[in-house]
Amino acid sequence: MNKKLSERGMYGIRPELLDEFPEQYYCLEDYEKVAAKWCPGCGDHAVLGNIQKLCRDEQLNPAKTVFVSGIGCSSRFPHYMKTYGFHGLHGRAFPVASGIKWRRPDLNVFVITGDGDCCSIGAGAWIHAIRYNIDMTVMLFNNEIYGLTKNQTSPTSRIGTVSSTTPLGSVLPPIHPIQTTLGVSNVSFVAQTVDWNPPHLYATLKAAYKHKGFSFIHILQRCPKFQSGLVDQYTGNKENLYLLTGNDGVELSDSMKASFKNKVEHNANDIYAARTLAEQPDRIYLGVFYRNPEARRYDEYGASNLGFTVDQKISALNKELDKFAV
Amino acid sequence: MGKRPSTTDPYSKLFKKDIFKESDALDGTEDSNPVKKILSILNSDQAPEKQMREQWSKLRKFYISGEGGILPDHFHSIHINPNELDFSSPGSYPFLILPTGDRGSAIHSFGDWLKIKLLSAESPSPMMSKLLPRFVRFASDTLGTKRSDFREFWDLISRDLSQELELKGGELKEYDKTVQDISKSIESETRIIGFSAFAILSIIDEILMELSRRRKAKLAERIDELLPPLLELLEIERENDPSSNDPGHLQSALSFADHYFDFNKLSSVLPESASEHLDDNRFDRISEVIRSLQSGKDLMNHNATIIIDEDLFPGREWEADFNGLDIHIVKKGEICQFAEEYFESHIKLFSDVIKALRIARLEKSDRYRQEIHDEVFGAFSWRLFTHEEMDLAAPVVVLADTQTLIHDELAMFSRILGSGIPIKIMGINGAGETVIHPLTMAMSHRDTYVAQLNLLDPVIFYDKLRDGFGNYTPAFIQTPVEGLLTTKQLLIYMSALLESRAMPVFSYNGKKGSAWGSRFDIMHNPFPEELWPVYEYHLSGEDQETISSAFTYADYLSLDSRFANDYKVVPIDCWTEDLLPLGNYIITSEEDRYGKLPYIWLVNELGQLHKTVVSLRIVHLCEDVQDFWQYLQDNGGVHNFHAEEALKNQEKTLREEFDSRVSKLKEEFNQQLEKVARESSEEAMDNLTSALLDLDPDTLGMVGIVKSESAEPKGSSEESDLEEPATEKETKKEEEIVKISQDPWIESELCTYCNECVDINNRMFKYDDNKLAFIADPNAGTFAQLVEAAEKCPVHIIHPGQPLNPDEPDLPELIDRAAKYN
Repeated sequence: MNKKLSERGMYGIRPELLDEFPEQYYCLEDYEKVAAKWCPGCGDHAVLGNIQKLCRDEQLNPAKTVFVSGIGCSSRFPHYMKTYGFHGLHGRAFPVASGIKWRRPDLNVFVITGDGDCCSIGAGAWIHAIRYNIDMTVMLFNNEIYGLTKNQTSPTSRIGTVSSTTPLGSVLPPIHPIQTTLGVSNVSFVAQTVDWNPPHLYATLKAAYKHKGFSFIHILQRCPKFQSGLVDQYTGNKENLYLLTGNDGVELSDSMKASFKNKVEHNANDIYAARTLAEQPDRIYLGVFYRNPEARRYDEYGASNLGFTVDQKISALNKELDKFAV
Repeated sequence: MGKRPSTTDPYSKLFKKDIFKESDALDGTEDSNPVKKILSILNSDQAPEKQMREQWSKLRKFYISGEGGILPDHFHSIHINPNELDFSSPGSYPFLILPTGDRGSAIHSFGDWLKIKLLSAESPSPMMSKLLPRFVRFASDTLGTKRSDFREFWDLISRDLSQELELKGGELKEYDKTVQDISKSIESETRIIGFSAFAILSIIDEILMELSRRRKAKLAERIDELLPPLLELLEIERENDPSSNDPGHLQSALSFADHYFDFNKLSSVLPESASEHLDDNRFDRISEVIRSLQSGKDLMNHNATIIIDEDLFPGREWEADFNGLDIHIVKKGEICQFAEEYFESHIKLFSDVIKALRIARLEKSDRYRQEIHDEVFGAFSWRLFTHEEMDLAAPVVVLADTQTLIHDELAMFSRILGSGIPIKIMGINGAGETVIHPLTMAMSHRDTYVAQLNLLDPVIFYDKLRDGFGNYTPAFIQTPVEGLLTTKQLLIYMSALLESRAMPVFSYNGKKGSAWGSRFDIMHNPFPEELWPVYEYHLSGEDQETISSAFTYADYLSLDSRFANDYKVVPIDCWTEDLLPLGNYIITSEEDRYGKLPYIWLVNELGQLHKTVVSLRIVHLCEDVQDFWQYLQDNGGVHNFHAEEALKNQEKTLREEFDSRVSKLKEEFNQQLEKVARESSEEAMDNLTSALLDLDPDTLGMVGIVKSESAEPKGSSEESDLEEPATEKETKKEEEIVKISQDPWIESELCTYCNECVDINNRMFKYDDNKLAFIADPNAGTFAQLVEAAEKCPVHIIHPGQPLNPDEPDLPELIDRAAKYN
């Protein structure tokens, strides 16, 4: 039976709807822009889906959220998010993201970068971004190959990788991004996850988002097109997957935890223990390697203006510029 | 048809004593035998046929044309018989309005109230209990048409009555003590109201004052809650004044530390202003709100408004009694117009206060968003009020003659009802023939409160009127009152209107419940389940004969001199079976009415009964009244057409179902019987044949053995029958498990949203709200597609199960490939 007019409010209008404006509730559709154009079976889809879920669950205002990327397959990511985005220069996602966060500390900043973008052309920016420790969530999509440019060896490709640039197999040992990150001073948050375990992926993304500072997540990601050999090796073999347990902030359900054969107790505050784990490239440890909420954040010094007024800043700038006056 | 109820029926009390002889009206009220055999029927033999035929043709002619009819003097309806009526205590009159704790009031009959007081006294006085009826009558007579403060009135009547009774000694002592105890227990603000046309005005006044008390308290509470925080906000702003830093101000504020500070220096080092200022818009807005709220306090002095037809209640003495109300006397034809204009102008002031309250609430918690709220409140009007807010506004009540509303002001009257303007219109009188039925018209506006009330029961009258006035919808309340009648005539008039269904008591509350029927209440009428109230009367004579008669609208009209020519007394020698009681005549179909005439019982001054035929005009009027009553009954849940139809249908269906089941069972039983008969005869024949064939003179007892052998295997087969169900169950369960494991499924939780499966068949595979794949429809594609998806899925979470279509090509190969993923 239809509700009577009177039950909807006097004269058909509910006054509280006029006076009170409830906060908008964002749903998944509010973060979805267009269908992702990655290959079917690509691990990027999993990260995209889980990031959208994270945004919804944390109710991030799309107008206050920015995804910054460099160049590469994964760097197409900002196109698929209905938030602000910056598909930038190759290897320069970190400086752009740092600038955004520095100037606008109210925004949620996410960085998408690939193994080429981060570990090759962007390695310099990467190292300094770790040290600056500006509050942002960084996802390194590592598929150990250059996919967008159709199959070239990347710095993270393992020895013997056959590609169009190394047809007889690569000869140099790969960069291990976790090892590298942990080696930089003022490191704040380092975690590793895999795209083929969505619950763990989601929980790790969430832990990284909650961390204030430069949260670095190394995501092992499958490329079914050019690294199809690796896919089965990854997903089929559970023997060399190790779940890090302890105080790492990654919240997994008991059933999910039980699905891991190997578990390692690890103290995420201990950088030496973290480095020891990172020294074992043949094992895949999932979880947070290291976390230091006390690490200095450069954006805190930037955003709070160090106590200078605008006028003071302008006069200081002018004083400096005057030095160049002819 | 119902019987006359016991003497507890408040209305039936009225019909016992003479009303027209003022002198002896109250005499003999202590008569212990309320049902007197006073009526008699004259006996007569049947008249000769020819004479009778003449009489009948005259009667028929009268029935059709009304010609030759006359209601003789001193003839009254059997129900309104002056010899039988008692007016000592009409209904619950006089009644008290007692204050209750929550600023409300309750209504009690004076008689009941006094009875309770006497019974609950510490030492109940039997003498006082005996005096109770005397008290009630005395109070009624002394009070007359007035309303009075009850404590004063009680002291007055108790003193006067004591003088009249000439009590002495112990009796006087007892009397005085009880009376004084009662006097002490009377709360102030208690009032007593007597029976008269003016009781309507008194009740309206009481209700409006009660609503006003509550309204004021609520409004004050809301203003008091919101005003101080806003004042505080402005106070802080004032303190933020830049001039507060000047040395003089500092010195006055910090005078206790005079010798520590140099105020000029202090002033120069203090920052210009330490805290943020309210922006100008907000400052102005808050100031405006504060002004409105303060003026809201003034508005509270206004209680309610009554707009009254100049011709109603002529003589303005009563006005002095209503000093709390704003009374406007308006000319006929301009009443509704005036009311609407008055309401609009008055509510405007009030809507400013409500607006201010709303803004204040938002400002208090800093939730006022200028970009949205400016627009909302810019167009604010009383139409945006909530129900609670509407309750805070002072009501506007209109008192007008129903005929005026219907004839002269119909358009405006309907406009008020239809527009939702919560003006309460009271239609006074209203009995009579109008083309438009005012009540059904008012109800047709749906979101209204419509009621027809009768002063006879002040408790119902008070409650329903309060419902209507407290409701935030327009209301139309009709009540019969005739100011020029004496109290007794008024009583007769009011009760006849009620009993004859001419003006039944009912209420329709458009805001109560979503089902139409739930908004009606017709239960305060006599015999609400009947078409007409039917009463039984004893006849004189030894055989204890009784007659029952319906109180129809024709009985009511017999009081009305305009209809005197519509009644014709039937000569007693023409009382044949062709005369039908009017109540039965009306429900008889047109065909069956042929040759019959309707009559009602009239009684003359000697108490003799006469059948009296009524004219066709009266029959039509009765049909009309009955029609409206049936409309009310239908809506009020008595004899609801659809409910009764549904009940009939349900009964029919059940009956049919039952019959078909019975016949089916019978058929089965017969078949079974036949089968058993056939089988047993065959078996017997077989046994007999085999016995005869194997007949050996040495083994004549074999027949018995053969039988026992054949019985044995049967027994064992029965045992296996018993075992079977258990094993069957288990296999069924296993089958179910197998079946479930054969269905395709996905471990959705581990889905990586990689589009592989969806690309293969997007009707078979879909994503859920969390972007996790699931099998939406296993039949939307082939088994081959399922197997392909399972193979392609990078995380191997698709389990294709077993093929659902056995005719699919290459099944063996596909099943082999699928096995790896199941």
